[in-house]
Amino acid sequence: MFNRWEDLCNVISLRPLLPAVGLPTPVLPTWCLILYFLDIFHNMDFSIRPATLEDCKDIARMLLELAEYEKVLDQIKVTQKDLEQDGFIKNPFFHGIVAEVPEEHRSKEGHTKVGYALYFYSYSSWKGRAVYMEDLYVMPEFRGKGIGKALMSKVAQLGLAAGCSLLNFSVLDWNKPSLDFYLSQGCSDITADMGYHCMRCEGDELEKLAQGGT
Amino acid sequence: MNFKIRAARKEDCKDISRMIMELAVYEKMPEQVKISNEDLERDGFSPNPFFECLIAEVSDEYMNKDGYTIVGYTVYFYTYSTWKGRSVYMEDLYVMPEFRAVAKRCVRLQFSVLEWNKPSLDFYFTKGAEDLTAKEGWHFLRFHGQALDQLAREAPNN
Repeated sequence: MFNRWEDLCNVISLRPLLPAVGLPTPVLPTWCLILYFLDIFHNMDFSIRPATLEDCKDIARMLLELAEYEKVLDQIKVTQKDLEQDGFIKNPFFHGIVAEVPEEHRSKEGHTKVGYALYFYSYSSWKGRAVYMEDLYVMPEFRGKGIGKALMSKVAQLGLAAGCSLLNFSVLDWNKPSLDFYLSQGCSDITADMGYHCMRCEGDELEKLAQGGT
Repeated sequence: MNFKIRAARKEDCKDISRMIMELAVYEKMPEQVKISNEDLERDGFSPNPFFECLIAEVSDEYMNKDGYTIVGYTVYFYTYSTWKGRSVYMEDLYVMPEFRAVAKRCVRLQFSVLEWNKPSLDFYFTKGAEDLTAKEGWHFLRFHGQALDQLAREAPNN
């Protein structure tokens, strides 16, 4: 109980006032309790941890939710099995981190895994080691609580620890809420600033290109 | 002209570094190149390399005026698309000017091109590439320098 009062004081910055009020820490008025629980709701407990093989089911679920938001649900070919095969082998194609909430905060469908980021290491022939964040997603009912920012920061931290100097990712130009958020965090829009266009060869065109090689 | 494409070796890093700079000059951004051939040796030729590289080499009788026989390269690495699965990203593709006009079960090849680089864009279109920025509105975003450090500092400690 004492620790929760300490948390309360720190969280709503009452500590500087306590000596003036002359009250010992454990004795605080009811309005503080109300503020405390409101604040607990806003600063929901969550943890960020590396993804495991067992998380692939939830990552596959959330991947589809993200695809629906990006209006590309019909384009998704990756399955839970692909994630298991490609992310958890000796030389994985990607790494994942998962945001998890305690049972008492589970979603209305009963999910406690409420966000993820998927990334891989890449290379810039100009700047060296880089990390590319392929996906960043938080379930709608868990947004606004710092989970997305925490996931992205974790990818940045892991990237720096691996010696990377760049964190790269892509955003659709109509996705204004996300674009605004990223720009507010200090990133640059390389397409707008430098004129780089993202190009792709896939399917039959990729086969044809490969056949034209020596 | 006889040329061969082969996997790069550690000893090739000096030539790769030279050609990286030539490509950066062509892209009008030579001041942006920060890595050296030692970085390439460390990052491309360790047990878990950050990239792979192919070299185009001509025989001695075709060496250029400066004596080079390594005349082109491509740096690439494997990536992942949560839509389609295994992919490969071609970071660089370069052939020295005087030598121009000559899988791991991946489902797509991705790379970037500067929008003003019309000769390259036209070449890639003839090979079947699509411009996803123009077609679908994708923009590349990047955190680097102080903004990246600041973002990393805000990561949870667990």
